[in-house]
Amino acid sequence: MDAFIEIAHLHKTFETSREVSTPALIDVSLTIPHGDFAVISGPSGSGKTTLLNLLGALDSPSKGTISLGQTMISKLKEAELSPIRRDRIGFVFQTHNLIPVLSARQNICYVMRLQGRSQQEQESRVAELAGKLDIEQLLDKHPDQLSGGQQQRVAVARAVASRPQLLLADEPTASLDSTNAERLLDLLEQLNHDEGVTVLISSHDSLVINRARHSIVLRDGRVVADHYERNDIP
Amino acid sequence: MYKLIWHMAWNALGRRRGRSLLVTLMIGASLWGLLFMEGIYDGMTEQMIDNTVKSDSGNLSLFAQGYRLDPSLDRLLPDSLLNQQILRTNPLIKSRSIRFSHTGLLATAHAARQVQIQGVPLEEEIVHAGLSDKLAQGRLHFGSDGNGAILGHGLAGKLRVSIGQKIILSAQDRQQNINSLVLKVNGIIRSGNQPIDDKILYMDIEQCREFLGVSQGFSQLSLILHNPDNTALLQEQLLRELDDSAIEILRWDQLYPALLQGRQVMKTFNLICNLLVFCVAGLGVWGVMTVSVLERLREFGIMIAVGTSFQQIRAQVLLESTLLGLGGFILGAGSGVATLLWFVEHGLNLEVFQEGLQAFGMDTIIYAIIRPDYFTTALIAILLACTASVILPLRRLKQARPVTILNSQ
Ligand SMILES: Nc1ncnc2c1ncn2[C@@H]1O[C@H](COP(=O)(O)OP(=O)(O)OP(=O)(O)O)[C@@H](O)[C@H]1O
Ligand SMILES: [Mg+2]
Repeated sequence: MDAFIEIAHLHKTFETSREVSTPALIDVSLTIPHGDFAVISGPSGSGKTTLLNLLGALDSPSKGTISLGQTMISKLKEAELSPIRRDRIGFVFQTHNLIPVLSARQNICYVMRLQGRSQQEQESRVAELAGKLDIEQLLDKHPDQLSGGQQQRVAVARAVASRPQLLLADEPTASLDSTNAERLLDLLEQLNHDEGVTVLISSHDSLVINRARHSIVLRDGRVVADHYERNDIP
Repeated sequence: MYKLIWHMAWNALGRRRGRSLLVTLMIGASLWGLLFMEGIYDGMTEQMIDNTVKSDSGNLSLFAQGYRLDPSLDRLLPDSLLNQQILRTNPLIKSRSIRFSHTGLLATAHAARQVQIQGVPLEEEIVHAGLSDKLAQGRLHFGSDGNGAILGHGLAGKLRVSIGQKIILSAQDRQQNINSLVLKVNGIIRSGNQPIDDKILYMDIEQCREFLGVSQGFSQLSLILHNPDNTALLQEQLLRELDDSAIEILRWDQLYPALLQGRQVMKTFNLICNLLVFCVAGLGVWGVMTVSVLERLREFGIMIAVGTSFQQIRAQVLLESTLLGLGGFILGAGSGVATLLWFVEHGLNLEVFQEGLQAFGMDTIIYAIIRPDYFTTALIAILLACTASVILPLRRLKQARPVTILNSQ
């Protein structure tokens, strides 16, 4: 098994006040291989979002380490993290994913522009993804002119446009109806298959959990299950 | 990269168009006010100085040693002084006029007042003092017989004389005899210099000397320079070349120190005005930028989550505030220049305040001045204010973890 993400003895404790501290993750160790399609599930408050934020280098652990490929991201400084977020990770949040002042097209191009990709490259990538995600008609609209499902599709396009190795999605279907949720999952699977992106989704939606190839269950900040479905072990 | 930052900043401002416009207008309006005040007040001060320089002190004045303490008819500068090379062909000097002064009593059939008799070569004085612009009534002429007189506006008013009227001038001549002479009022001038307007009686210098029993000489030589900045230089030259035991050589600001103070007061005043604009711009931009940064935390959070560096966000926020400031500057400077140019051309008519203004030696029509440093100082003040105003919002962004920013609101 070719490990892509290595999480070792990860702890995250929130100091809510001087006296009270909330342990959100307790001694979490996980291995995610390249090309994985994993779903982190668990009841509300179990630590799913906390884990994804740590993986996305948006927060730093209290203890333990996270490696992404050869990089120990839990040890890096903020200034060193932005290129990693930019080049290696794509993020899809539950809602309000898009930058409101930019059109759908500009949102999708944003990270590519940060990366300094050429205009031509940006255009062909947008065209390619727009076809796959069926958002060609939406490209020139602004986020506030799009429905929740449309916004999520644009968000997925934005997240993968920069060709990240890892796609993190925190409850991406929570604001969608089941039809739209199914479509979004189809897309994520397709991208996972076509582009080899490692996908990590957090959800307590059975629709999502049923699609998991790799199922991780958290409860009260601990990993209580970590197994591959059927014969999907890569 | 710069294109992207520019694009983001421009879009952010565009999305809050109303608010952006409001701050821009606010900065513009306060800058307009500042420029207007600076231009008019400087205009007033410079006009006051100009009036005094022209009507009396020149940029430099020469007197016989001791004359200013004891202005007697024995303390005169000799006519030969005018032939000195340094005064005759000095490239620094634009115009000169000699004045022969003495006190006297001017009377009509009803009233009498003490006057300052000023014997002048009229043609020279017209050029030197710009009398054509100051003529209020009548004309600038001493008559073919040389018995015409030109009175200050205040003096004429107090004596209630009008053009063409006869007046009697009495004075003690050099031999201590009291002489008198009938003169005809040919013109009335308003110099803007109140002591002159209240006291002066211009008459022909030859006539005046004869009247006072003096064969030659004069009390004051007033010099105006092409470039007033050379005043001290010329003063030095003259002090070196001329016999300073017999001649006193004084700059306008030595003769009228209060005027120089006035100019300095205006400078301080302008500085305070700039500070005010700085505060207005700073507060306006600060308010808008704080609100707009705080309400966009989620947006910045997403930008950070997808790999935007803090430096880029800082550049964007700075650019936004600078654009607001520059917008305000362009608006304010544009309207300010237009307004000032109008007042440079047409002047600001303050006839309502005529008496008060004239007491300060100012004209009722005030011509504005435009100086480049109004704009550079204001621009610096505004840019500083804009930069300062985003320091706090940016610090909040920098100190928070990305996840905190992402989850705010
Ligand atoms: N910023 C924070 N400050 C304090 N406590 C926090 C913070 N973020 C999360 N927590 C706590 O950490 C625990 C895990 O929260 P987390 O958001 O990761 O749960 P979750 O599994 O994503 O829940 P949900 O399904 O409701 O989104 C919870 O007890 C929560 O109260
Ligand atoms: Mg969550």
